[in-house]
Amino acid sequence: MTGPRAALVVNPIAGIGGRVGLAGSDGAEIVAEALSRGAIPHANDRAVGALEALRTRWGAARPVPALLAAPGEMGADAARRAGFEPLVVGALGRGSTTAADTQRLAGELIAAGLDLLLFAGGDGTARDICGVAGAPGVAVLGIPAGVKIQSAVFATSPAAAGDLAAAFLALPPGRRRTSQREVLDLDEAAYRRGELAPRLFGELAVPEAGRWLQARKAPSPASEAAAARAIGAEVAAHLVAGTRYVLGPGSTLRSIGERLGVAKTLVGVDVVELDAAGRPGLVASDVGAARLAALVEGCPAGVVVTPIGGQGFLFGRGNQQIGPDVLRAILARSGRDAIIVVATPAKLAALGGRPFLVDTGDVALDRELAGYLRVVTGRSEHATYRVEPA
Amino acid sequence: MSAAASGLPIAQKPTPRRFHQARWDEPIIFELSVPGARGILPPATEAAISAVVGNPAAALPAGIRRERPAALPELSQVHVVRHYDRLSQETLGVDLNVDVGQGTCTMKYSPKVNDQLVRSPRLADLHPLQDPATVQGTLEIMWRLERMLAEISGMDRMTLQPAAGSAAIWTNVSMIRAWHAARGEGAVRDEIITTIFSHPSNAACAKVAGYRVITLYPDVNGYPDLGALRAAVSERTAALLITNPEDTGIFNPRIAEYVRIVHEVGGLASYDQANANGILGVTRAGDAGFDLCHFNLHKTFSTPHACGGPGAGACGVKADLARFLPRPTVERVGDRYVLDDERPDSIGKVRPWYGVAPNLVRAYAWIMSLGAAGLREVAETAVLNNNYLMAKVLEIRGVSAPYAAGRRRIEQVRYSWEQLTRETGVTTDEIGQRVVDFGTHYWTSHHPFVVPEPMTLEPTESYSRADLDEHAAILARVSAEAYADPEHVRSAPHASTIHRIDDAPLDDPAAWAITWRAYRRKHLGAGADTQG
Repeated sequence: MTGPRAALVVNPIAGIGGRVGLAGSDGAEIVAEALSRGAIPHANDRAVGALEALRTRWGAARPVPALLAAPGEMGADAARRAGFEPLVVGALGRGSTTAADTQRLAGELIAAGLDLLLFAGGDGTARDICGVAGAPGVAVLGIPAGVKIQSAVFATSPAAAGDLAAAFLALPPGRRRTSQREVLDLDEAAYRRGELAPRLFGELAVPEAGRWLQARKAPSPASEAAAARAIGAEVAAHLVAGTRYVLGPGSTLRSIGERLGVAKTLVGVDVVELDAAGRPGLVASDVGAARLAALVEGCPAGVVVTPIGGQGFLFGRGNQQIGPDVLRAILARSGRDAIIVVATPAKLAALGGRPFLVDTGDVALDRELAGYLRVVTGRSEHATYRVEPA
Repeated sequence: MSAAASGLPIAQKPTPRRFHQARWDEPIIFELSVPGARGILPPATEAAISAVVGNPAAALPAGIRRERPAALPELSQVHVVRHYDRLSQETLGVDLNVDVGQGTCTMKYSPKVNDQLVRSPRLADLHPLQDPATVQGTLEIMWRLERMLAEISGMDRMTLQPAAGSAAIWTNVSMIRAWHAARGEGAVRDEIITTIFSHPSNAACAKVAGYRVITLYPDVNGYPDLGALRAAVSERTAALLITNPEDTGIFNPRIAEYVRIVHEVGGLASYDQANANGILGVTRAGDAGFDLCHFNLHKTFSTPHACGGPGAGACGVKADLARFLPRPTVERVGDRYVLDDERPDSIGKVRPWYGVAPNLVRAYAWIMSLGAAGLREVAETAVLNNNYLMAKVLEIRGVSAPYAAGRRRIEQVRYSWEQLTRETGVTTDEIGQRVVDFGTHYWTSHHPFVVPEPMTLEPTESYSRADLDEHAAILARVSAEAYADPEHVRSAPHASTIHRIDDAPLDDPAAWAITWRAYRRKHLGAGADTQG
C-alpha cells in the first residue's frame, strides 16, 4: 500500500520586503530594492520549520509521508534540510525565480499526484497557487512566509502548518475534511500609496483545523474611522514626554499620527519622539529592522501596534521591521507597559475569542510576551486581552 | 349551526400565518398641524371669576413662566386619535405579536389588571407635594416593595427612585464613587471593569461618570476571560459591573470568584440584574458576594417598557453602602411611613420626587399576585420556554448557539446564522427583514457583533408552546427560503412597508435628529431661534 504524499513549493523571495520596510515583495524592482537594503530571504527557513514540525507531530512509529518537491531553492533544498528525501519534480528556469515558476511547478506537482500541497509564501504566492490548484479536490495549505497575509489559506505559523499537515495526512482519505478559504491580495502599488483594498482572487481547499488557520482579514467599515480617531486621541493623551515611540503600520496607527500632527505612513513603521515638553516630532519614517533597533537603543522607548484584523497577530505579520531585538530593548528599559496595543472594539470582536498571536522569530521572546496586555479601544476605553505564541 | 354543517367550506389557515403590515405614509404630527385648529374649546371665563382671579399666569413664579406659548401641533381631537391609531398599526408590540425576538429586553405580558390599579384615582389623583400623612398607602407600597426586592436580591436596602435601567446603573456608579470618596480613594480609583456581553449601559454609565472603562472579552467558553480580569484589576479599580447570565444566556458558575478578585484589590462588585427573569427565587446577587445590584422593573417585574420610558429601576445595596442611597428614603416609624430626607452622605436625588410611582405599584401588584413560589415558577417557566425554543431553533438549517455546546441556557440565547451566511450569502440582517413578513421580528445583538451573524431570542414565561412553535416555524421557513431562493430573502420585506433604512446618520451628530426642533434645524434649515 502507498502512504500519503505531500508536496512542497517555496517562493524563495517571499517576505524579503518585510524586514526592510517595503510592505511586500511583488515585482522585480522591489525584490532588487529589498536585496540592496540588505534583506535576507527567509521563506526557506519557514518551510524548514513547517517540515520539521510535520516530522515531529508525525512521530517515529510509522514511515514519514512521501514528499514531492520543486527543485532547489523552490522546495528540495528546504526538504533536505528538514531531513526528507524529496522526489524532485520539474526543473528551475534560468535566472531569478518568478511567479510563472511557482505556477508551473505547482501544476507539475499536482499532476504528479499528491494528498496535500504545502506552499511557503505570501498572498502573491497564494494567488499563483490559486491559478493552478483552484479546482476542488486539491488540498492546499500555506506556510506563512510573506509580508502581508490577507488570505485565509495560511496556518498561523510554520509550526502550526506542520502540525496541521501531519494531522490531515494521518487521516484516511475518506475522512479528510477541507473547506474553501479565500485568497486575498492587496495591490501592492496601491498599498504603498496608502490604500488598503484587498481583492478576492479565488478559493483554495484548505484542511479544516479550528484555530490553526489564519482567519480572513476582517474588513474595515467606514464607522471604524471614528473609532480609530477616538483611539488616536486616547493614545496621544497618554504618551510620555521624553520617550521615543515606534508606531507600527495600519490605519488605526495612522490616526495616532494625525492626532500628534506627524505624517504617519500607512504601511510603514515610523518613529516619533515627544520632547521634554511633550511636543511630538517625527524621528524617522518607514524604517527597516536594523535602523529601528539603533533608534530605540539607549533611550526610553515604547511601541504602539494594532493586531491584524481577523487574525490577531501583534508581531511577526505585516510589521516584521519590529524585530525581536527592538522589542527586547524596549522591554528591558521600559517594561511591558511600554507595549501599547490599540484595536477598535469591532476588531477585537472579530477575533471570536481567539487570542492575539506573536511570532517574532524569537521563540523565547514569544513566550515572554504571552499573557495579557492592555488594549486601547477608544477614548477612556480599554480592554485586557490574551496573547499567545503563534 | 356550524360552518361545516352548513356545507360551507372552512378555509385552512396557512402556517406561518399570512400577514401584511398597514402602511399609512403618516406624517409627523407637527406636519399635520393647522394653525388655529383645536381639540378642546373651553368656555370663556365668566366675568365674575375673572374679576376675582385676574390673570392666573401672573401668580406663577417668573422663572417658570413661558415667554412664548409652547410650540405644540394644532389639531382637532379626531385627527389626534386617527394619527396615533395609524401609528399603532405600523408597529409591533408585546400585545400584538409573539415578541420573543427582542432578546435581553424580557418582553413579558403586562397584566391589564395592574393598569386598572394604576388608573384608579387613589393613585392617579395623588400629587407628590401632598403631606406624607395623606399618602400612607402609597408609601407603604414603596416600603414593602423595597423589602421584597431586597429579599429577592439578597441585599439590605433598595432605592426605587431611578426611572429606568440605565438610571439605576448610573445610581449605582454614583454610590460606588461616593463609597471610594468617603474612604479617601476617590481620586485613585478611576477605572471600572465590565464585560462585552454585559448590558452596554454599564460601560456607558461608568464612562459618563468619568471612569475609564476596561472591557473583558469572552474566553473560548463564552465566559468573561478570568485571566483578563486578573490582569485588569489594580489599586485603580473602582468596581466591576457585570451581568450573569450574560447576553449569551449562559450562567457563569464561577461568578463568586470574579467578585472575590475585585474585592481583593478593594473594588466593589455590582450585579446588573436588569433581566433577572431566569433566576428569580433560584439565586441572589447578595449570596454571590455582590455589594450592589439593580433590577429593571419593566423587564423582570412585568411593568410596561412604555416605548423607552418611563420604566422603573431599583438598586440594591449591602448595609455598608446604605448611607449613600438617593434621598429621601421611605422609612417606617411605628405604624407610620415617613420620607427621610436627612441623609448627609446620600448621593442626592436621581429623579424628581420618589420614582415612577405607577410602575412601582404595578410591580408590587405583580409580585403579590404570584407570591414567592410563583416568582420561582416564573423563572422555571422562562427557562423551560427558552430551552424548548432552543431545541426547536437548533433543528433549523444554518443556525448554531455558540459557546457551551450541548449545554442548556438560562432565559435567552444568542444564536448565530454564521453557517447559513457562509452557505447562502444571506446575512442575519436580511433574515430579519424577511421575518417581518410574518408579523414578527427579531433583534440581532449590540454592536460590535461578537457572535457572528447574531440573533437573540428570549421567550420569557408569557408565551405558550404554540406561540413558540409559531416563531420557530417562521425562522425555519426563512432558512429554507435562504437556501432555495436567497434573492427572495434578500429582497424582503414583501409584506411590510419599510424596506432598507440607511442607519449611517445614526453615527453622524450633524445628521441625527431626535426632536422635531433638531430635524427642522438640521434638515429644513430653520434658524436656531425658530419656535418648534
